[in-house]
Amino acid sequence: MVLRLTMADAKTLRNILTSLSALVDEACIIADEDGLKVKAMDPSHVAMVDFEWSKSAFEEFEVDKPTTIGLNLEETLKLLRRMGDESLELNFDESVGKLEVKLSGRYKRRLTIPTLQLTGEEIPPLKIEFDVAAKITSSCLTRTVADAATVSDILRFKATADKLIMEASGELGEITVELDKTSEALLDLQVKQSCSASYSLTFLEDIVKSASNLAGTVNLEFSTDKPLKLNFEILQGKLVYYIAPYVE
Amino acid sequence: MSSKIALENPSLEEALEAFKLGVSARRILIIVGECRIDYFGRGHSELDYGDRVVTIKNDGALIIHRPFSLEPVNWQPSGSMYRAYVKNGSLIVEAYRRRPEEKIRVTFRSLLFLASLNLRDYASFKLYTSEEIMKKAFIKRPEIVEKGLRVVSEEKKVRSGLIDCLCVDSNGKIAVVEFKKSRAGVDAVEQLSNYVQELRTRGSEVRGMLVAPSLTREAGDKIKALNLEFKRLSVKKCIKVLESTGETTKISDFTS
Repeated sequence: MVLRLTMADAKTLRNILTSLSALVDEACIIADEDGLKVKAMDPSHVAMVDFEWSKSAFEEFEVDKPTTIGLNLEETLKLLRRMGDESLELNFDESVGKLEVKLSGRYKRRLTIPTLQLTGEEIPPLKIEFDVAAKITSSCLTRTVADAATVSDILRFKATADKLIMEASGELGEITVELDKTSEALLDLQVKQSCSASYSLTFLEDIVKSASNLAGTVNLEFSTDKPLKLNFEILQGKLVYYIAPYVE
Repeated sequence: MSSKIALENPSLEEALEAFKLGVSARRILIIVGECRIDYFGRGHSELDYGDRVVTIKNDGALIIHRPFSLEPVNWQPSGSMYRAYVKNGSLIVEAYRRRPEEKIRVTFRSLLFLASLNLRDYASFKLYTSEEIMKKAFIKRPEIVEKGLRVVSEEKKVRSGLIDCLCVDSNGKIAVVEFKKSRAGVDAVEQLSNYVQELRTRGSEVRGMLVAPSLTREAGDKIKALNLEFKRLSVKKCIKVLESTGETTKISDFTS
């Protein structure tokens, strides 16, 4: 056995895989003594995900040696589609090349998922100093993104000393969401200097919809004409997305 | 000779001098002043004194604009010949041509401004068809049709015709993309199907996407039957995409 892990709530695993599938159809999961890691860019290289799940997130976690598991996320999610309140045991044997998933709820079931031989892309780190760091509820972000997508392809983020503004405009209308220190949805705002930047709603929609199921709050950081960093606060791990800016 | 002369409130003689030099050097002349206009030729017209802008192009075309309205009040085509002289305290500029015989006489009683300019313009004007507009917008931002699509080639010649755009989707599958500017019918679906069939014989799975503002019901049924896809896109949206000066960047632009 190369990797074996168990967790009480199987749905979290499915939500994580759904979040990753917002960017990529195939994921290269690295399992080592720290836990699980996925670092990937979408095929057009506009967005990136940096995901880590510490072994403390699992009830049991054993790995013989650092292993790479290649998964076709679309196919895997189809198999894991129906998940109720079940606990999960996952086993991976590199020599067999298949992922064995045992689910225990009202009854026990076992799924075998084929894995892929994938070579993970080497993604160099992003070194950016952000001028704005804001913490907002993920429900606020999800609703803003959904509303904005009805009028435009681009969402503009603006920050001044005490306000975070998200706006979008198109033929059908304009949407503006303004958050200040009195807004319930804005939990924190640090602004080094006023700035504004725009990002593709096509990416934001997919990312925010799935990641919001995993975290109630999201830290967003940006600077003028720099990537947007979305850090969804998940338990015992990190789920960070970067989206390249749309530059005028 | 300098490439621009601009005179403010010139005297009639100064203006005459600049005018003669400008016409002989094939310059663009812009004369602004209070004038009356008389036309003789296929008919006869008169326009009493008022402020107007008279433009003479380097090929002899003449356009006279009043301070209002889009259309010029008088004009003469390229190839017109010119005469100018001062008489009775006015500067008279005449533009005439032979076949048909026509003459416009502009009598300036005062001048506000005169410019004699050496202008260069060798660009070719391009008016795009609606389908060219759709293709241009798609190439600029393929996500308006589908996220992750990448254009491999345009106007690809195949046995059954010319494919608008040959692309690769986010899964690496080949996708044939065809644009139609108005409601697409069954023949558009058949054309797409021919392209897809031709590429499918080479082995791999090929997607076919018909991109149009709308589809007839028969076309919709046929698309489903042939396992092809419809993507809604309006020409208006494409024009907006082309108008925006922004650019999507990549994450790799920011990695160290």
